[in-house]
Amino acid sequence: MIKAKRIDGKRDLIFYIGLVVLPLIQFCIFYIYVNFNSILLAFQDYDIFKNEKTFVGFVNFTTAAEKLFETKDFAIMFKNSFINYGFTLLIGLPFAFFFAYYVYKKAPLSGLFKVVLYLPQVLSGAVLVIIYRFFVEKGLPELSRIITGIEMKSLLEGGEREFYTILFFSIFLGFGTQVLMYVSAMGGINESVVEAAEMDGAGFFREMWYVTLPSVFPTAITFITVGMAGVFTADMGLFSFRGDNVGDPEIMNLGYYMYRTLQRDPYNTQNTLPELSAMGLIFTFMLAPVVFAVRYLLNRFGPRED
Amino acid sequence: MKKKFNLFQLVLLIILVLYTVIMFALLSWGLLTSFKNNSDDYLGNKNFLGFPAKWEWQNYLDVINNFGVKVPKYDYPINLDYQLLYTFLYVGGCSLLSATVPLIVAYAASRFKYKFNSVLNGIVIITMILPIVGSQPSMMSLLHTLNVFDNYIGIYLQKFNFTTIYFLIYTGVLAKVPTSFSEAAKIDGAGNFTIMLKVILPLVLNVFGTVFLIFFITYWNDYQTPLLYMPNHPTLAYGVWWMANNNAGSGLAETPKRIACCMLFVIPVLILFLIFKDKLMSNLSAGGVKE
Repeated sequence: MIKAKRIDGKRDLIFYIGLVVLPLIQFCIFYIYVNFNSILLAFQDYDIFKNEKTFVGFVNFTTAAEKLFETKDFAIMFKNSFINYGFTLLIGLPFAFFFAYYVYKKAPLSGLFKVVLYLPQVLSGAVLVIIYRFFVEKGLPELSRIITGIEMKSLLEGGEREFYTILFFSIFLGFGTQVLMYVSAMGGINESVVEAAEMDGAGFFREMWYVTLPSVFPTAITFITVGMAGVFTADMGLFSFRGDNVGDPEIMNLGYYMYRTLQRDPYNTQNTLPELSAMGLIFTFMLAPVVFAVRYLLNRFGPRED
Repeated sequence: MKKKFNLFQLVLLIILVLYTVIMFALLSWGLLTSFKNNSDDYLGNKNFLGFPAKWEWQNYLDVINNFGVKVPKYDYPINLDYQLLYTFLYVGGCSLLSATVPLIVAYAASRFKYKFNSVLNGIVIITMILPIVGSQPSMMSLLHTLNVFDNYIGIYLQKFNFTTIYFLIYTGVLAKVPTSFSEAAKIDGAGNFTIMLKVILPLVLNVFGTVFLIFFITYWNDYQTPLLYMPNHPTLAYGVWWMANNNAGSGLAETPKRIACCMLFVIPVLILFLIFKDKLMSNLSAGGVKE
């Protein structure tokens, strides 16, 4: 009996190892090694065709830092990346929460709104960009002419105007996943707590503020910190709008710059890979403590169910 | 008791109605524009907002016949038939791996009580919250070293990972399946593999289906990953992006034809969405799927 149990235990262990070993190997290579190699690559020159790597010390960091902190163009891109995150945090996140609450309470037309809010996740971002772009270039000026008599200039002719037009689009279409996640989290709220609030006379807003928000705050923390972690990699859909042709730093951001640089030089003919790695590491060192600190503070001092 | 419709609710209703109107207006504008003749109607008569003077179905036929993408490696464009093949390989293969690998690891973590399970959970949480920026150059370098850049093995290897939120969702769902099911099957002589495949996994097939659909739509619409890691194997999404940002030579430089191309591209996912929207928008949480 004991021997049979031992054999069973061994079989279970072998089966368990069989299930996890390949994904773990993949994780070790494509996450641990890739990120470790990212650190090493930042200290090297790399010839892909000869597969030769040469240690160059902090040269790539110096080049990356000079670009990031001493050039006007990058100062604008930094600003744009932070503006993008700021608008997402201060407008996108609260409104996603409000819309989700509206859907959760099954308020009038909530079924329709749930579908409409989710639609941008289904339709390709590139497709929506194309339609939006051509509408803004031709349709919107015509609409303005018909309604006001004023011939409006295109909102996509560069500069800050174009930046904010693209930012609006990015936030306008970015509600879907957040709304669904919030609605999922709200679905887990104990019914008795909601009933108790209603019996105490809490209306739509008070219930949202005192019952729903504390319950879903952990979900909001996830969105805040994940968004913060992506502040230097989010491209705001700019690559879909303009491809790799953007020259005006007024509309660029760091996420777009990094992706475009990599996409233009996949064979590292201009030694961009080590420089981008160095840049990425600089961003990680800037962001990691902030993300963890914000996460800690929000967990510690944010609204709680109790 | 009838609930009062308060001011806050009214404001939200107005904003959401506006949002809906703008969304439908954009899509309707796109649909109408895709049927306009560029020289006689759209640009010629500056008919930017109205209905088409004549419904130009030829735009859609031109898209199907001329939808080619220029890639770095070849002198000739990659046509629609190859793009469909590449799309099938990319979307189908990646969706299957992205939905299946977390499920298998979640099965191991939830059905077997080993201490290593906490390591697996920790790995997933850490990869989700740790802000590592700029690992793409290193990934590119690795793919070159392994000689799998610009081929499907490289992409599939990248997607063979379990460190996504769906691991947590699957773990939650599988943990709720009673152990008595596995025990009864073991008593009947079933091995671990049979129990997994024929007893437990069929019970979570609806969750797997939802996750697969989510990934399918995500990869269908994704052009940036193929553009970066498979530049000579353009998918349809890559083709739509390329067509929108390149004017020369394809015969699809006109706005109505570009939009017609977009409309054709969204039809499959729109159909999928309309059929499966309840599943896609269901409460996919760590507690399972709730309608």
